[in-house]
Amino acid sequence: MVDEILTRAESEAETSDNTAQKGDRKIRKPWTGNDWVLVGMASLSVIFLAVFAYAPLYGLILAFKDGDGWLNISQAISVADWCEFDNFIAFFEDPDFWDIILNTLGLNLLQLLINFPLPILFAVFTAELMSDQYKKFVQTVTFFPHFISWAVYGGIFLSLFALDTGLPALLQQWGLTDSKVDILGDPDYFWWIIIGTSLLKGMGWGSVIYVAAIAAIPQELYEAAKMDGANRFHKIAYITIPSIAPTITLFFILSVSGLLNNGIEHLLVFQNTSNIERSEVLDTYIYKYGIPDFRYSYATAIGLLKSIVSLFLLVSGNWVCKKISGKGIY
Amino acid sequence: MKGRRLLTSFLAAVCAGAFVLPAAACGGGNMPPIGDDGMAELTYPDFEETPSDKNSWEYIPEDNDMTIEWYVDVSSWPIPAENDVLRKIKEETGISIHFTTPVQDDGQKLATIIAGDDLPDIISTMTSKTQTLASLAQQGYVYDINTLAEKWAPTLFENVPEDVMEWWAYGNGKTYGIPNHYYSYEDIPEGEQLQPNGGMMVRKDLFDEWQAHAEEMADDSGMISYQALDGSTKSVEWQGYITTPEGFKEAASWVLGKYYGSGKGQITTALQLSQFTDQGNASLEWLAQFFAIPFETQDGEYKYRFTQEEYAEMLYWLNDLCSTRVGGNTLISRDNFTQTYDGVGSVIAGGKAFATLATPQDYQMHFATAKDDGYEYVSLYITNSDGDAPVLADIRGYGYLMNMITTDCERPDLVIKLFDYLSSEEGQRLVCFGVEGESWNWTDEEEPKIAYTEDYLALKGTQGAADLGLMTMDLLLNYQYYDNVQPRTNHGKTEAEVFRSNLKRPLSVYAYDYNVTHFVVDATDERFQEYNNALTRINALIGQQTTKILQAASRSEAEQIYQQTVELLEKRNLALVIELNSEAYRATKEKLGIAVAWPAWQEGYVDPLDRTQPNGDLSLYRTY
Repeated sequence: MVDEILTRAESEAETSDNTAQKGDRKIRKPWTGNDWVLVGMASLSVIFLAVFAYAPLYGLILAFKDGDGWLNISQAISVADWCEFDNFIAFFEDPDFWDIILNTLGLNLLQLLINFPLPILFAVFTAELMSDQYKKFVQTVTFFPHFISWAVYGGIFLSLFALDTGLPALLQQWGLTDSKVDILGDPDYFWWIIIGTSLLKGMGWGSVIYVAAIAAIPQELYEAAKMDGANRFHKIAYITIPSIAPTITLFFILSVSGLLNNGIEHLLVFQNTSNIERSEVLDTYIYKYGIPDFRYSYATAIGLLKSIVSLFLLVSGNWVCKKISGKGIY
Repeated sequence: MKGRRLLTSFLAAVCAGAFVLPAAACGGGNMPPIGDDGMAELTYPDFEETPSDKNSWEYIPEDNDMTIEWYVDVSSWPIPAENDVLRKIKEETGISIHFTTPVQDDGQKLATIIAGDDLPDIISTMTSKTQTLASLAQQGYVYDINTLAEKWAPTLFENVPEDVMEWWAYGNGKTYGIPNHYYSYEDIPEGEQLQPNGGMMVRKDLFDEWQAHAEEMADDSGMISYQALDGSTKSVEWQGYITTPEGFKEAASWVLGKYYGSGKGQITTALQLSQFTDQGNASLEWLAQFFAIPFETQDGEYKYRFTQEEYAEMLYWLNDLCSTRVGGNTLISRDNFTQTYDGVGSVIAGGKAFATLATPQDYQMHFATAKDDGYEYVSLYITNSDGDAPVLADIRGYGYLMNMITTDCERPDLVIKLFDYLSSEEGQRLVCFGVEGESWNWTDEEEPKIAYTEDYLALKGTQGAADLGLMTMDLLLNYQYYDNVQPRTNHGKTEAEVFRSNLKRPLSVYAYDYNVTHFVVDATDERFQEYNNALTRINALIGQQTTKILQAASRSEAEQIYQQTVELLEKRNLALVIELNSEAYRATKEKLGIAVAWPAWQEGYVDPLDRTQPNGDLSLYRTY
């Protein structure tokens, strides 16, 4: 019965698309007042993007200029000498280059593997809760950390993991560890701290979109499945997950394109000289060596490189998703 | 249809404009031409020049009423509320000041201000930011002080010491700002022993207990024999055993073994270091001075510290403290490597460290809190294993913040007069002690020179005293002048203030002039940008590798990491850094007129080492 309903819904959607396409070819209606309002609202977005997303692209010129040390970026763009790809080469030749790339990709891939699916599972399980009150309670509790800044939230963990006065000392005192485990200083723990803390802070918030998608699934599907003898697991596997698959695909592609981005404020809270070999990523590197010494050209070159790779990842991710599931974001 | 076409055209115009406008906006701005000296050639406003027959600020028209913007590029600088000092400045100069500071110290706000071509009248930034200072001058964002003073404040040359002006002069002989907290040779009284900049402190109760134990360890002649780091047998007076690296380690082990714990009076670390940052650790600099590691070769040339054998030995000694376990705990807690400033502060405030090499002036309040709770810290010195006396840098220097008048300032002729007023003795007294007659008066005696009023003493520590504004406008404060003029009794001081001012004073016997090490590399040199990039990366690498060396499991592993670090430094262009540092070092020595800079090699040097006084000379404690 579920299959029948899904098939019918899909065929109705196709019929509706075909009608619209035919209509586009044959009839060209004049715009109504509502159309103008919609176009006006959309235009604001175009203007916003033009001013804040496209206009700054002009600054990318700086990546090909010897503008380091100039205090005024505008002057650096217009007056500094061209230096071709020197800024890019300087980055490739940096002794820390491979470590930074490894950390950036490694940390993000792990986050993609762990932090991407968990909010989906959380949303699915939350939707299965019987008591509405308890559901709301769980959602509120898990949303709350999102609204605390990393400086405060991270500070709690810094105190919690302090070697002499925090959890490591307690674990040793209780005889659970032979010596105090240096969670904050040992580079091997850094990625896990980032993954764990970002999951705790962002899982509730990250599940919002999936909760909304699940809420939009027609209840008739579940009722029909129940009549067919489906248990909870069957309903999740055959109704919930397939219904929110387009949303998952969309966010997966966006996450893949963001593989070179890290939350800088998050990392800076936990970064220290002891764990730097695993905590230095592209974003922290640009922040530390690009801005304070006015190395704008160098920072721009690395930023541009990041954008190009991200664009490539976005296109590739979209292509792979289309190949596998037939769905993409464009 | 017409509407649609119009809309399409409009959106197309917006998109095209988005690309064209920034290009037009980046048309080069008002970039002044660069002169032969590598600095921007500036044009000065055409105001009437000021004669030198009386104080320049006295020429400010009485009806002058202006507000200036003063940007202080330090997030922690407390913006003063309206107070009597600011009101007096307004009364004397007709200038009201509106201050701003950044939220963070990452340089982004200053960069934004400059990028937006919206400079304030005055910019104050840290003197340690040599590239920013030089770029502001080179690229024409600030006026040179010499020209401004010659035209509109000739008396400024009498009020700002010549050596200060010369110290900050660039290759063209001009100075582009006036610093605060400078220690001019003109102001330091002859024979005055200044305090050291860094210091070592030890918890007095634990120290006394250890000393009693050490006395028991001594032989009949009061000496303790021990095996030195080089394997030889040495002996030292029992009082000074703790001042040797070997004795300190034994004392630290003894105390940690006896008192480790989180309870009241217990400690969690034997030696607390400062916060480790990506630019290193200040404690290592202080320890290098205690270990008398020279910054100069016997030939009088610059010597880079990290690559010296003595420095490596110092790191290995610290590594030994980090790896030596007493009851499962290391003498230097691993927690130290991840602690923030507050984390280090809480260890000190709680009396949780036996000894500390954290910069005392950075943790004054924490030491005071510890004392209030019954854990008093006193100064302590330590020497290298060879027994050389410590050679500590004293607090002198040529400034903390540099105050510069920007080329966007509409009335530089008046602002330079304000600088002149604040730099004068009259202005300094106002800044340090508040308004005469209100918070202080002259005394009839030679010493002390000023006395606080009863009104001020009654208000001290209350909001009423804050309204008087003492020390709030410290941007041009000359601390040595304050020290020369302040009362020579505990008049007006609380016990806590006296305690804080005395923290490291007994170590003054080992403190010397280190001015030569504050050399400024010529920012107009064409190699400067490359030098600066290399220096940033080198400092970061040293900061990173030092933690690895200290935390290495054994000395051989520490040695291996050290050698690896030296090789990495070479790859990061250490040669260029040493080359430019050496040039700047030579130029600075020439400027100071000295042939030998390392204090222990100077003529007339007397070895002050006294092992029977491990805390330094306690008679140097001041009552004020």
